[in-house]
Amino acid sequence: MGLYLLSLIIIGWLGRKAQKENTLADFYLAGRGLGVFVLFLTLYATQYSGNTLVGFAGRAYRDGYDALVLITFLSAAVGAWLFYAPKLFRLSREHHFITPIDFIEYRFNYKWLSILGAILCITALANYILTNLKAIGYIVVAVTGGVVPFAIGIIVLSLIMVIYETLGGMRSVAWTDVIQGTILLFGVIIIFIIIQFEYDVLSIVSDQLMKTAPEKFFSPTWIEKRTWISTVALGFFGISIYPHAIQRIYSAQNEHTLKRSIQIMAFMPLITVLFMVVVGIVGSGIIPGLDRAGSEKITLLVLQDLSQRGAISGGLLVLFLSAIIAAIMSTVDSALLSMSSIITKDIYSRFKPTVNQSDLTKMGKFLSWFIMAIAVYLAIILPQTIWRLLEIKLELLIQVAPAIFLGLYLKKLKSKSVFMGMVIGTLVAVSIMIANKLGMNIPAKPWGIHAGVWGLMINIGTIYFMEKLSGFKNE
Amino acid sequence: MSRNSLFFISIIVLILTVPWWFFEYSDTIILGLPDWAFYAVIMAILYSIVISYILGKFWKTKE
Repeated sequence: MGLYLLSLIIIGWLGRKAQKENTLADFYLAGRGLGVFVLFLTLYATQYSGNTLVGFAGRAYRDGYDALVLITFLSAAVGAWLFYAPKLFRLSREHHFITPIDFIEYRFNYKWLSILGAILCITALANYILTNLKAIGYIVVAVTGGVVPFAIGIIVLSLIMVIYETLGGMRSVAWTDVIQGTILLFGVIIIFIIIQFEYDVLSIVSDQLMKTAPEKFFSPTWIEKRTWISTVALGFFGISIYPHAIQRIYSAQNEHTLKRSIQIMAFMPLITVLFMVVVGIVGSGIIPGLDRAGSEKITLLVLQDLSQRGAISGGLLVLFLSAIIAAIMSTVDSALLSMSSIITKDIYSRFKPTVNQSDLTKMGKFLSWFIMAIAVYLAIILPQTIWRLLEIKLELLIQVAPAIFLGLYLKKLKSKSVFMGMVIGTLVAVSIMIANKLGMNIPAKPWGIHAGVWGLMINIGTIYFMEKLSGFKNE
Repeated sequence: MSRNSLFFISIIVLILTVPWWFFEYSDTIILGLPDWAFYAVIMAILYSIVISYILGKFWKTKE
């Protein structure tokens, strides 16, 4: 583990050495030169966080086969790239985009829309960083048996991330993702294969589950089916437009590289998410009766059981635990880099338009340290109840989707329509969530549909209404 | 088949990944999964194949 962490710093230094020019494009997009191998692995490592390895298995433990929705949740993001990645890549080359907001600014040329889009992206990324930092703290405690305290684990790993990220920018992040993505991929595959051999095939587990938890064999009810499709919509419109994912689209060496990387990514949910859902379901058969907090640890418990049975060596156990930490780090460093780029390019440079690229890059590095310091502090001190309020990243981010999807295809779409849609969609999503958290008689998912998806539907409806209204006015 | 048709098909396949036509309790087990869960996995695989195919066939790159 120590060697792995040291290698990350070395890669950070190598990334700095490989810097060609002191510009935002070189720092935040690796000079737009990522090849297929690196681009695929950085997309993969960024897309799949610790939540995939730990949270998804926990969800499968609790919900059973319903958790299979998570496969399509992540496949849908790749399906969405099919719709916008080719056009967006070409535009990014032509107009030198650095952030997703650069496209929105280019397309709509409306300051308030760009600022609101930037705020929604920053909020989603901040949430992503915070929740993953907290997860990394818990995992370090679990892995070290409490020897390394929660706070120290977060501080040390965050320091390593911010060092290599500010040394070499996207190059360092992408190159470390090659290691992290490889560990993650092999870790998941090996553990899945071992589980198949050690616990016999799934049919044995399903026989046990039929006796102990027959409710898991009921097909989803109508409301659960609506939640299923709503979850898929969140993946399609939300996960696909994560700022750090869009910046990887910009970073591709060329169109062919991007195309090949996305083609491979289409199958990764089957190898990663499906395997982890199986871990959760197997766990529910062999270690029944865990509460919610216990179920979140099911991956680690299954690994410990395998280790006690002698099915995996200490080395393999360390490999998988490293995979979990690697997955989290690869996500946090990407989100941090992306957040720093949006604040630097889309907010700071608005107030300082004459600042040169070199100084903007320095500001970006400073911001990375600043953001990480605040994130570490909050991850350590925030109580659990506040955490619940923070579980609103995709619901907000999804409101930016119409600006991208519709903006690419509808040439006559007006900026004010998109802005009003984004405002109203955000207000609807936030209102539903706050009302639910405050204990009002509004479910978190009215009619089984996520608050953010309701917001998106009303967002698009508002755009349609505004366009029709302006059409009438013109007549 | 045109590109737009295939994009439309990809959306339809995505919607069909939901096990809409399965109801009630299932004791039909296929490869260790209840039939509706097996359907969801097969459709997820199909969706991945469809996306990859459309990407390969209709994304014409300069290279």
